[in-house]
Parts: sequence; C-alpha cells; structure tokens
Amino acid sequence: MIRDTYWEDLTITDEDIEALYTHLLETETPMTPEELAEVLVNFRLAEERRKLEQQRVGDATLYLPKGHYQPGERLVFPARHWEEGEVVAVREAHNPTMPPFKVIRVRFSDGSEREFAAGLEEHPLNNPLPASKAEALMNTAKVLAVYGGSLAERIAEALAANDEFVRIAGRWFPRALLSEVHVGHLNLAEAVLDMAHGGPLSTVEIMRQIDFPADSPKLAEFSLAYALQESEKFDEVGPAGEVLWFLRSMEPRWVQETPPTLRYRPLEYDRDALTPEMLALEAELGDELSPDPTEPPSSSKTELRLIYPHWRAGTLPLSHKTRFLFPTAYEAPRVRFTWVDGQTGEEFPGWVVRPGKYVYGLEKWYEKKGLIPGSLVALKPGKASGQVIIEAYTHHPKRDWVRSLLVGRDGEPVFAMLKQTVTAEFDERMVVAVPAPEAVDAVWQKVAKERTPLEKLVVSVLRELAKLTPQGHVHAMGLYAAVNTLRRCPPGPIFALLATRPWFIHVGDLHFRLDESAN
Amino acid sequence: MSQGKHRSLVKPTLDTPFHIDFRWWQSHARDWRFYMHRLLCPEHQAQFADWQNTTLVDWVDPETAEVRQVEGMQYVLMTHCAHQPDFLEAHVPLVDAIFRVLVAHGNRPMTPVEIAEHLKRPARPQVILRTLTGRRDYLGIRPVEQ
Repeated sequence: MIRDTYWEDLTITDEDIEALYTHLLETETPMTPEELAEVLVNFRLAEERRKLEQQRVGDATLYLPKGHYQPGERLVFPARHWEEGEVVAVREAHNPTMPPFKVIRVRFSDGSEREFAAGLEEHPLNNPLPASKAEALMNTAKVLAVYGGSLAERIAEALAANDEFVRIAGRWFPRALLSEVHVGHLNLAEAVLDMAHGGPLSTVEIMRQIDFPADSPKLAEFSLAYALQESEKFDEVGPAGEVLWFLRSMEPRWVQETPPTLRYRPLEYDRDALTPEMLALEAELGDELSPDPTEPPSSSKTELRLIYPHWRAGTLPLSHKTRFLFPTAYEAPRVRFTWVDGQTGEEFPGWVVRPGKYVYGLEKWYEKKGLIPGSLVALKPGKASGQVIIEAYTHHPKRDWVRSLLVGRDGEPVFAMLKQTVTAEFDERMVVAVPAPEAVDAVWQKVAKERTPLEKLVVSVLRELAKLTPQGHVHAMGLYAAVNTLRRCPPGPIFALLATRPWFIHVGDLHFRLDESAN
Repeated sequence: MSQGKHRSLVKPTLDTPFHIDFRWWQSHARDWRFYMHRLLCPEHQAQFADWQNTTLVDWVDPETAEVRQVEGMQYVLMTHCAHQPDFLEAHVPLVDAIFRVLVAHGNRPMTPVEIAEHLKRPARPQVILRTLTGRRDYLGIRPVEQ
C-alpha cells in the first residue's frame, strides 16, 4: 500500500541521511548521488514493508470504506498518512442518490473528530492500486528508472547541506572515514605534477609516485583526492566521472582568468524588440554570451566564424553550437582535453573554462594557420574521448581586399579596405583583419576607461563601415563583428539598438544604414 | 455598512490553500442558496425551485471517503451540475470562475497554482492570489484557517 505519488513527494529525512551514512561507512566506497539513490530506494522500500507488516500484526484495522465498524474499534487511515483513530459513533448516512451506507465518527490522537463512510461498496479506496502499478512502485529498478534522476538531485542537495559528508568529482563520502593526508604528501604531489609539466595526472598515478600508504586503496585514493581538492595548489580538471589533477600555478593564465577581450559586463536591453530574423541570426552566430535558443544543434559538426575577441585570446565560444563537443564535469570549473588538427593530426592541449564559457588553447594554432577575425573554423568530435577535431579551410596564400582595422596616430580606430595576405576562407560580412593587435589593445583600454556607451560605439562603427560600401549599407553581423573589435558585446544588445533607434534604418535582409539627419 | 474582514496574520502565498467559507455567507446575511441555485443546470434548477428549503445530505469525499454534510442543492451542484461541459467554461468574471472550480472539486482547499490549473482560461496564479487577498472577500473564498 504505497501511495501513487510516494516517490514524487519524497523528502529526504534524517533517517534517510543516517541510512546513507551507514551504507557509506560499511562499504568504504565513495558513491555518486545516482548510486546513493539506489541505496535510498532500497532503504525506503524496506521501511514501507516493515510498516505494512506492523499494521498487519498491530491492533488497528486498516480502514476501507466498504468495512463495517463498531464504536471502540481502532482504525488506521492510509489516506491520512497512516494516522490511527478510534470509532466513537456510528449512524445511518443520508444520501438518497447512493445505496444505503453508514457514517462512522472517528476521534484522532489530537482530539479532532472526523466522519467517514462505512459499508460503502463503491469507493476508490476499497481497491488498492492495480497489482502491476503497486509492484512498479515497490520495485527498486522500476522506481529508479522513473524517479532515479530526481531522487539523486534531492540526495545531492541534502548531502551538500550536511557537514558530515564530503564530495569530490561528484562522489560523496563520510568525512569521518577520511585518512590523514599531511603536508608532506601534498608537497610530494606538487613535485610529481611539476615534473609532469603541471599534469594532468590521476589520483592513483600520484599515489603510486609518492608511495602514498594505501591499506584500503579506495579510501586512500579518496582521502588524497579530497586533500588535493581542498588545497589551492591543485586543480581538478578531469571530465565528468574522471578525477585528474593539474598544478594550478602551471595552468595557462587565460585558463585561470578570463582574457581581457572576453570580459563583458552584462547590458540591459529589450529582447522583445529583436525581430525573428535577428533572433535567428543571433542563434546562428553562437556567441557564448547569448541566451541558448530552444532548438538544439542538428549535427555533430559545427562551423563558427571567428570574432576578434576569441582570435586575440586564442579561444572559441562555449555556446549551444559547440558545448556538446567538449567534455564537461560535475564540479570542475576547468577541464583539460586535447585539440586535434583535422588536417595534420597534430595534438595539442585544450581547456574548457566553464565559468567563462570559452575553450582555450588556440593562440598558436590561429597563428600557424594564418587565421584572421572572420575566418571560418569547423569543429567535430575526436576519435577518442576527450578529443575535439578543429579545422580551418586553408588554401595557398593570396592577396585580397579585406576590411581591416587600423589605429590612427590620434589613437582613434579606423576601418579601411586594405590588401591583406589571406590563407583561409572567411565570411565576407564578418571579416575584420587586425594587422596591429597591440595598438587595438590600447583602444580597448580607452573604451573601457572612458566607459564609451555602446550606442555611441555602434553609431560610429556603422558610420565607418558604411563608408566602405557603395550603398552605405551594413549587415547586422558585420556590425556585430566590427563592434567586437573594440569592445566585447554579444549580438543581443547591438541588435536591440538597431531595432529600436530611429536613426538606424532597416533597408532589408538585416542590412542597415545610418540616418544622419535623425541622429 | 462596514464589511469587517477577518484577516490572518500570515500573508497568503501561492502555496496557501483557499476554500469557500460558508460561514462567511451566513455572517453576511447573504443567501448563498440563491447564488448556488443560479449555478445549477436547468434540470436541477427546476427540481430545486423551492431553493430555500433543502435538506442535509452526506457527501463522501472521492479521495479520502471522509463524510461532510452539505445541503441537497450543493450536493447536486457538486456531483452533477459542476461536471457539465459548460460549467467551467462559462464566460463569467474570474472570481465566479474560481468559485465554480472550488465547487466542482467538492470545495477541496486549493492553492492559487492548483486553481489556475483547473480554470478553463489563461490566468496566472499571482493574479488569482492578488484577487483573493484583496480588500474584499469575494464570494466567501478565503484561506483555510490552520
């Protein structure tokens, strides 16, 4: 007799926590919330069976509307959380629309009295759940198949609020069982990682190299992992389900902190102003700072147009267009993986920086391939797990007229069409070659220092870009790319300005011109 | 005349259950039987033409089998008329629609979120909460006293 909504409504109680704690103590094995969900379900089912057994052997009778009861009889009410009460009176019911039945008055332990039907043959409470459904609710595997995910979430929440448990890489363990790891062990671990160029190394590998005492290997592994996690010197960089360590001091700077060109202070803007075409373009651009569109990517390969902030930082966005290709983690903010050059097969280290929403490690690769902002880059899953293949559509170098950004003697940015050597395919509308990025860095600092309003910047960039085309029209994506050569901004705020300000005239197909008379 | 409203010290929220408090109708000398009679289907309006004299009937809660004594007219309203297709779809003000939802469910206490789910019209739970916790008591719909 388990309630239909028993598993949906379940709240983790102190008894549940104690049961999980006992299990972890006995098995001496760290467990994920999903594994603990199975322990919890088994515990709860055993408890429910025990309660049922007690009800069968106890004094109280299970209340069923079809039953006949006498004053003084004790009843237990499943619909009232198995509350027990005593029948204090019986009377005839009055209801001309129903077959004759009786009404019993029941007094509960808090002194309250309620009336219930008795001798009533037709009532849903008379029929316990169908056997198949009851069986499903009392079967561990079936319960986990339906409710496992939500139970695991509730367990993780409850354990996080309890000091007696510790967690590492998504696994939980009682703090009391951790063996001592002294500072000497940590110093040795640091030296081992230093020898391995920072890492990554697994906990087991570090244990082996520092000769860490391991009477109980699993306990020892978890204890060392926990000590490494608690020390600021080490960074856990393994993908979900794998614990790998890196020496924090040897991690690249732009993995530890967000590169200057990717820093963005969120701007308020009216998203409702964006037209369906603008929203579609925003989704296509795959900027990591844009909200995720509802449609997931349809293929495992993805193509991006490189924008200046990522080109300068040697990164790519971790957005809805790319996220599914990269390893993720339960907790680790930074995850190490391997880039594979799709043309040469060369492998080099990459980093997923989850808080900053970018992937790192491409600075030299961009240089080697001769890419410029606006170049096309393709990504696809690697053959081995933890690998991502990256390709650029390279060709023999050729001289081509390309929109370029220069910085004048007065320190002001100037967009101009210049002949540049290009070695890879690019998007005509988004390309902005930057021959002297150091000079542009100074412009970024000036824009940040002077807090130039976005609107002012958009107007001046649109005015500059318009000079480079015979019609004086600029596509929204070109404007987005160009604005991002001077400050970091996702498409949303720029498109919202285009949609709401009267001096931006839409001339069709997301091309805009500036109405100088209105400005 | 002043309509002194009994107010709980606890501010109702989206999780507060509301029900029709029939004591309110009595204390306000409002004849709820007349209001109920208007909600009956035509067949039962005729049957309860003498709406001022109805007898008490034992109503059995379909979920818990708990028995509550209700007037005969309220009983047919809950067990028959409220289940007619047009009962919840009638074009009536929001408070009347909320009243109908509660009646259709045997006056089982419901939160604004639950009421919104049963209303056959778009109404946000926050709007329902604001309506029911305004300065006036509408049709005796009140938070359930703990």
